[in-house]
Amino acid sequence: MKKDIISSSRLSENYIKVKHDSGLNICLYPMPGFSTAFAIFGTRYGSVDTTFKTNEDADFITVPEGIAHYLEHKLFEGEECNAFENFAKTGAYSNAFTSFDTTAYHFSCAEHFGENLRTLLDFVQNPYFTDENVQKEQGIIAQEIKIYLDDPGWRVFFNGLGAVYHNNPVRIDIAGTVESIAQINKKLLYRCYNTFYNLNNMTLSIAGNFDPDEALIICDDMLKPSKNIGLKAIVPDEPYEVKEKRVVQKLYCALPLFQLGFKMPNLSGRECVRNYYIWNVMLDSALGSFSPFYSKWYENGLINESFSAGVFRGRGFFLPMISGDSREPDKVAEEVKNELTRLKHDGIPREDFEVVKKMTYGDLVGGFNNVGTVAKYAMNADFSGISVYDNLDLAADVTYDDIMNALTSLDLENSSLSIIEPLDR
Amino acid sequence: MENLYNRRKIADEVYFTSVTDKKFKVNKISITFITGLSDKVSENAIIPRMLVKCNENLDTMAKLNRRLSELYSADLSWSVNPWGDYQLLQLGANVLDNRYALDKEDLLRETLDIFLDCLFKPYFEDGFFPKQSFEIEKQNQKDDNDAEINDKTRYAYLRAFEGTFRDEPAAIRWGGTNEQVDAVSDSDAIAAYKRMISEMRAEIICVGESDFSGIAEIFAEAFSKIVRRPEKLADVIVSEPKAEPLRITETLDVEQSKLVMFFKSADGYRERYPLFLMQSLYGGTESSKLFSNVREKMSLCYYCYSRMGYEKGYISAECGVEEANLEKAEKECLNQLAEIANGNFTDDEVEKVRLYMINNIRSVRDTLYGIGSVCLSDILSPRWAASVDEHIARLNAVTREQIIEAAKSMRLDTVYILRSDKEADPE
Repeated sequence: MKKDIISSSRLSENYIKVKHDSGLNICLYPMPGFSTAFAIFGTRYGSVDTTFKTNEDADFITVPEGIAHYLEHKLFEGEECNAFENFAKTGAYSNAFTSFDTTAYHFSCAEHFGENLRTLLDFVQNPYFTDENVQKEQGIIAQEIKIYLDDPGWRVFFNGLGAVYHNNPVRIDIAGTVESIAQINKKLLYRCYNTFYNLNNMTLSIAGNFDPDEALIICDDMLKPSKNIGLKAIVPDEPYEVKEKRVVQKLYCALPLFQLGFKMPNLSGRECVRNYYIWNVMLDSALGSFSPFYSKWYENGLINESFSAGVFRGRGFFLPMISGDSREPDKVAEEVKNELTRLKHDGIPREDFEVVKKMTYGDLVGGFNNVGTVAKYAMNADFSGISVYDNLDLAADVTYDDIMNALTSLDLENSSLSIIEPLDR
Repeated sequence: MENLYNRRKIADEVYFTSVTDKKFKVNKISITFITGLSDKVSENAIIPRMLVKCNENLDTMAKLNRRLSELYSADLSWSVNPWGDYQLLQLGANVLDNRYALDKEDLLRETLDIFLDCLFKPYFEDGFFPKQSFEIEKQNQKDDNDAEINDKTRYAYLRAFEGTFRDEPAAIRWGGTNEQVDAVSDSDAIAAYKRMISEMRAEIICVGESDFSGIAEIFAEAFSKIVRRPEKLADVIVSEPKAEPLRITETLDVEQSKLVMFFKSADGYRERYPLFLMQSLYGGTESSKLFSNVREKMSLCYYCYSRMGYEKGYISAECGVEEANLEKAEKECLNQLAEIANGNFTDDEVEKVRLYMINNIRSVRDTLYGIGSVCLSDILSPRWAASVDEHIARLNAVTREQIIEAAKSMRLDTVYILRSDKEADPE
């Protein structure tokens, strides 16, 4: 077991990073003064992981859309009882989520930390899938999918991803479709589980009120050593150009919703995080709340408080995007492009850049105020191959030239506009 | 009410409360104005929106937002919400603690000054809010009203709520109707602003790392320049359930149907802790009756839960299902409440729920939001304010018989159904 203390002079804090003999990475971040502990056990496995094999498989397999999310639901089920019931015995709050590139299980508790950590490590390492319990989940997940089909905010986002990408699996809805989940069975779930829920592919992160020594004793006792099985995933080739320039759907909503995405090449690891800050600082400087663009068009009524600009990123995708609601979404897209064109030529004011850097610092430090946020920060950083404090350094290291180079490189025409128009009632 | 929060009066019906906790890296300041829900809701609702856009010293949105950004992304926010039969108008500011300022700036004081300027020195042109931004915010208010339909779960809940309290102030939309918003004039808005600072009860709550020394005095000084004529707030009405449940059905072109049922306690039953425990057992947790049966056993839905509005004496049951399963879901939601009323639950089920609630109570102190909202809630319901240990002791004292009694007090008041007009096969 390898143990390192990771420190931050900016925050005057530190945490313990452990490479456990089982293959698991563990981040232990005690936070004095807090009453609760938050633990999250995650795997680098999400909806984008659709075609893969390991050294132990003869061939690649392509699995039905939504299977990572389905597996997340089913993992709570045990032979004796489900994990919710075990957490409930101590009063802990537990939940899980599946994103594009991550599946994670977490609990939060003010008491009985050790017992809850044992429950977490136990159920995530011990799948129990039967034909019956897999079948039972279909009705539940079908209803979850239908909630999102009626949600204009969700649809504008996924329609936008579908318009930007031809083949990248990020264009697939995380939960899949009612039809795709009907193809999921016990055998497929075990294949996915055995591929991705290998401790070498996972991180456990704990923050708040807990004893790191106790946590490590429990880990030693509970973690089943995993051998590295050489996971290989196929990432489909993606053309440079967006798939569609404009997509429209009608749903019940007040104002039209829009999302403008600028297609970019994929980035990974530290470089992805570094660029994330560069592009966010650039977008905030150009279009953020104190920019001339924002004031002009807010006061004109074209945009409202829902307007936002940022970067959607993860393993295998990096997409600067502008979103919000407006009576004239096409005009917003046009004016955003006009403003970015003007700034490419005139340059972003240096003083605005300096203000946005202060904002970014403030937002990052403020995030270390909450045990759940810190545990998730640490897990996500570990998945990107960096420490949680590297975020502060990478954000601090963004230069004016970095943001102007980013802006200059932006191909404004290689973008997709997704719109949800109101359905008449 | 025991003074749990060091709450003190600083002007006529203006109170200051602070909670210092050194573990936080951010400080939070808020002021909540409390008034009755009435025909003035729409003009009241516009005021917080207007106040956070600019002030006398930072007279454009760009200047104000820029200054906040310079203060390491200090955040000035507004909200308008209902609570019982009241409308709460809130302004808030979050700012990084001074320890983290890179150039030793006094972030708290500078943010407080902006906050006070927004509150007491709004930017007026010829004695009114600037015409153009006033019209924009009226439009934004109407758009927000219309946006209720964006979230179908919330939309369904609000329609059921309105049906349940149809003859009471609580049923008034706290943002007003679009027609009411249209009718708000420049002078109505000024009158609403003046009413807010001079007549409405105000609760200032500060939470964070700072000891907030001197801040109560700064607010007191600012309010001393206002002639206060506080409004007398009527007690929140807790009405009896309807003799016959009201049924409301709406059909829309949606994928999923929604069912929302509202129950109210009959015969004046108001035992808070038994009601909370009963409601959690019914639908408040993943081990609850609704989750275990309607979702897990019957696979009818993804979400099925219950909420409680103690101040108005109701609990809800809510789920999203196939249109063909609406009847089955309604029957089962009723059945699960009857199960509790008939004592068909185990001590083990109760203990799980009790521990979950205790965990929640202990967790509150770990977030600024949690502390601030519980503090406000305790102030609004002074009879029930209690320390963490007292809350836990009162929960622990609830007996099985009391849970049964609380469930027996419940009567179905209103059923709202949002019916999907898409054909679907039954399960």
